[in-house]
Amino acid sequence: MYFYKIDVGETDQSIPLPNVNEKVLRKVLEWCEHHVNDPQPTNDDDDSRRRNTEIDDWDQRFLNVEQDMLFEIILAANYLDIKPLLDIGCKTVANMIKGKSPEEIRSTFNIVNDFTPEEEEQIRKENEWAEDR
Amino acid sequence: MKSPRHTLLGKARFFNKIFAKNINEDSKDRAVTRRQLSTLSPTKFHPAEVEDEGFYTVEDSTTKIDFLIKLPYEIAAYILVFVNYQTLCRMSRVSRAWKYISQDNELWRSMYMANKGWKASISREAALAGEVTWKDLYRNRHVLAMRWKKGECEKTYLNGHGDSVYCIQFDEYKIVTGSRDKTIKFWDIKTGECFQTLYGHDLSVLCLQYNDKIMVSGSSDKTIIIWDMQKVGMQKINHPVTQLRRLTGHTAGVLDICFDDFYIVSCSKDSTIKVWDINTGTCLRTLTGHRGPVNAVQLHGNRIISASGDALIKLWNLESGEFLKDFIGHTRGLACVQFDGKWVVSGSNDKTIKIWDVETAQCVRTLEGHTDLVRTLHFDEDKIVSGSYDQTVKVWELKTGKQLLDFKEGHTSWVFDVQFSSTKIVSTSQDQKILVMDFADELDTKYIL
Repeated sequence: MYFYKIDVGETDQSIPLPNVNEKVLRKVLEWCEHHVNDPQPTNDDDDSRRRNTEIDDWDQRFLNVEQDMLFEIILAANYLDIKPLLDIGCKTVANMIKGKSPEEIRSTFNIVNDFTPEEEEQIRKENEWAEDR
Repeated sequence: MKSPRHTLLGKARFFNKIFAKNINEDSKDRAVTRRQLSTLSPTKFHPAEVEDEGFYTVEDSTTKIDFLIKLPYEIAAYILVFVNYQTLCRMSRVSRAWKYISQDNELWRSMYMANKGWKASISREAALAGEVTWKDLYRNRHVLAMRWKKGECEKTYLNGHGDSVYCIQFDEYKIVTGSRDKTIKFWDIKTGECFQTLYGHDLSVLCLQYNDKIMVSGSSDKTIIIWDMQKVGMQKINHPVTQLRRLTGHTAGVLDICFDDFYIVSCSKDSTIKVWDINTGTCLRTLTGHRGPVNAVQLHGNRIISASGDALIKLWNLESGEFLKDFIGHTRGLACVQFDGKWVVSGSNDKTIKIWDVETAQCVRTLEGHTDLVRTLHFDEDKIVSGSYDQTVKVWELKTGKQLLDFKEGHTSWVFDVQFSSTKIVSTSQDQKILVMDFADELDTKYIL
């Protein structure tokens, strides 16, 4: 278990960070330092967030990491309640899914297809409508 | 909608129960969330272990993680906020667990609601009973939208009138039409069967409007008839519709009528517009100013818009009868007009449709495409549907004025009236037919408005 001393304004106190390891915390702090002067995020509703799936160049490069690191950054962002970082982390995963066939998605995340061939065909049919645009 | 992080928490427990076991024998391998953390001893969680589990193959140099399974459910669900319906559908084909997450009802509900113009009518009971599967509703609404885009519809003709069919209105259950054969007919919209014929006018029925209380019709016989619709209700009528009152005063045919809770407004070939008290049937005032037959009239709030053969559209104050302004631009007489409080849309013998801003009285767009008089039109916030003496029914995008659809084969003579809903376009013609174009054929549109 790690303890980090973070400047939290007036008081100097330790915050326990039991599920954030040092490597991940360094990444998170790097992100925070880069974004320290960002304007406060507005209270966008879900709809406008959904429309905006863009990630700026720096953040894209920042999150161009192994899946396990991305995974832990998302967890850390959630745990530390850093909403903008959680957003771009989730968007990055969403972008890894977008535009892929089910088989490509399985391969991307190493997922085992646990459907029977009959089920697979039925689910394909049920979702055929979404391919018509 | 609240953030899925909160609304989906209940689901998380269920999800863990059914899937966590399949994925990992030890369910505590699923990463802990901040909320759950307080109940866990810190030593039980070692982030490093996360890297050790999962299904990545040995020969693969990069780590692969099934994010949707390994992340806490509320974060996994939050990822889905950033993908569209097509991606969600593909995701449901990946694995059982992915199927479960990607069918989240709340997610599909918010996706449905995020579509502009997609309305739904869900009773409180149905919502509470959890009867609505939002993914299915989304699918049906999507298919409906695609059919509108492509113009794919099932065409049915209603035959029964013995002459030109001048006017129409329809709802979920019935179609009501008025004809040159002097009758008004009620049709079952599902079966197409005519289940009542009203006699009362002595000449052509040129215009009609109804709500659940009354119907008002206007005729070449110069009179207006108010009919009792109370017994009709929402369903098919078994009770005969009876006449309540007959209004006389116009000195020529009544070409169009419109009413709200207090007033009936009528316009006539005699070049006047009359405002009547809906309860007493008294003619309150007569608006004069047009120099030709007044072919169309519409009431919105405290304003009346009228369109005349004199090529002018006029705006009037309903309460005072005061003339407010002219809309000048059409080069020949007008046949139809509709007004929603902001936009005025008009059709003319100059073959064009014009969209006007009511505040400035300026024409903001002219739609060209019809090759003869534009006899009828109906619009909502997205589109305009128009019918013309060129025998076609056309659909236009309100915002851009772009022509979206063109139905050329529907009628074999002049189109007189048209009305549409989210699922249908119904038009009437001099060819004595009523054409129903149904875009929702074999689709469940129970909750779709």
